[in-house]
Amino acid sequence: MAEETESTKTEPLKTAEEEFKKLEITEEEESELKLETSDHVTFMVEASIAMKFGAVQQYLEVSPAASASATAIPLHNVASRELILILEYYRMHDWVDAGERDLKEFDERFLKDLNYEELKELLLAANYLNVEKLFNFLTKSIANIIRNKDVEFVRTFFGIDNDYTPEEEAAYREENAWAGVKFV
Amino acid sequence: MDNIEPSGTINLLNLPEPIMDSILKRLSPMELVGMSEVCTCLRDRCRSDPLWEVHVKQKWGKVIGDVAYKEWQWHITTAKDKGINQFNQHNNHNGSLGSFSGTWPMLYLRSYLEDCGHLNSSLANSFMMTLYFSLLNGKFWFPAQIYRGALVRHALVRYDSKSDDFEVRLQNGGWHIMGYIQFQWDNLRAPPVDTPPCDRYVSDCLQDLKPGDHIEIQWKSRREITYVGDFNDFNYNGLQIGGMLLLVTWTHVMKMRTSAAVVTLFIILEMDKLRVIKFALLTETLIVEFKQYAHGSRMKRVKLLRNGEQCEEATGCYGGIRKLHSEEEIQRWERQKLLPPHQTPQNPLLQLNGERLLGSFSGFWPLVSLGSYLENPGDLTNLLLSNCSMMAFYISLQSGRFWFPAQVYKDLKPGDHIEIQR
Repeated sequence: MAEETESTKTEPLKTAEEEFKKLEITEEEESELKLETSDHVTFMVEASIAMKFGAVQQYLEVSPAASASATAIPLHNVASRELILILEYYRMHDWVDAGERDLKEFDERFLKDLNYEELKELLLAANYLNVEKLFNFLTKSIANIIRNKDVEFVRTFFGIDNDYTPEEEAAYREENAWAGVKFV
Repeated sequence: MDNIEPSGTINLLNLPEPIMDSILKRLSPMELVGMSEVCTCLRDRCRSDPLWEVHVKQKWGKVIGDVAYKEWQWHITTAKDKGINQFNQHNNHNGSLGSFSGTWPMLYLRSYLEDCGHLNSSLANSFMMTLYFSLLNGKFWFPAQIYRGALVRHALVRYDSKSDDFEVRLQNGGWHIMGYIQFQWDNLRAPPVDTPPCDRYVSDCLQDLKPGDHIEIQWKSRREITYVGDFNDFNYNGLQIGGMLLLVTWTHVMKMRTSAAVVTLFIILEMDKLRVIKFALLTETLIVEFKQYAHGSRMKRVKLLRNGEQCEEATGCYGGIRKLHSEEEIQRWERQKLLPPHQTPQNPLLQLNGERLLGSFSGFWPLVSLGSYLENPGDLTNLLLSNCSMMAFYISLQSGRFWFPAQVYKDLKPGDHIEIQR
């Protein structure tokens, strides 16, 4: 099933791919967990990585038998395309040989390949899975995206409408003027 | 996925709270204010206290303590009450006063807020955010302590964003701005204890004290004054009132003779063969010998009563002891001791006797500070007119009529004369 993970990648990153193969060779005996996504795709994932997912840990605490049995651990709010990305991210960041620069480059490319919608979906999945590192990485990236952007951009980005009444908006601007913030 | 809108757009309102919180906590204060313009839902989130507490702690944590937070709470509450009453009352006050402690005539102002009109609005619900900006804009004069030479005293300070330092007021009858001296971040600290300067700090460390410990002690120069100070003294001598000072060397003791203030001493208790610092913890009395004073000095050894203050004319009155636990605090004091001789704070209250004195001033009332002055210039006029300025200078110095600016060396001994501004 791990191979399926590989094949579904549209643009596998070289470093991650190589590393993945290396892992397969050197750590053949590593135990794996079976995860099932919301679109009913099952993945065999190294236990070392799967156990980084808070949701998986929690599941195993409740039903410890699942780790040994062939039962798949259901991930209700994660689709296969998100899980693939998440696994890609964690495999890279787990790679012992990855230097700081490699990771930085990887992170940049990882982010570049995502559009805003995918980014938010991935964030939701990361939140559900309770994967801290990726979650922090994504929220930081989003903060960087909306930082110093105009209000309209932020509204579009989050898909929300301006619900201020003109009076509220005036009052609000006056309040913020006190804080020393001026709007153009 | 369940959470996707039919249009494929994930709505902000659908995002679980931890996600938004995690994004927002990465934004700077100004960015947060900008974000709050997006929609009403974001406004409330962008003003939340947990979010701003981080910024307050990060930016102001070193200089504001519990006292400042309490004072801010007081201002917020006052502003809210005003907001409720504003339909009934028409008063022109655009600022809320500070809060007082003590009773007349020993009132003691703990903080002051300029221009609190904005707090009537919904901002009053955002405790931390308004605190952050009131500090940043210099509208909130908050209680802090300043390192001044080897002293620390209570002051009201406000931030000056243009120069990134602090303007300081010491209580001197009113709260006068202290000359034009700006204080750097490093010369300020949050009051380490909640005790107002008018009260004796209750020591909680007496059982644990041992040689080598670093401590601070409250101190005031005379029994008859309260820890806050005495307005009669102030009128007569222009005394500093309401300050808490830390005292290290004789220089500062001499200075403190002019000062009716609460003083905190910084002492290094240390077992040292050459200069043995004796230390005895008796049942009710603590004997402390100060390393920084010369042998034979009246200040060298003091007896401190565990409960209640200990006053002797020669040594002044000692209050509570606080043990310094953190290495950072100790090092801050050590650094302070290495500074050049303490500069006399510019005393804003100068009583001049009219035409017989000539002095040069900087600043304007009540913030004048005298650079020098000449007594009885009348009979020097001829000399001055005939261009014998050096001779006139000599005579003026010789006859002690010319008060000139100079600095006092650190190793002054008891009994030395120093110039005191009146």
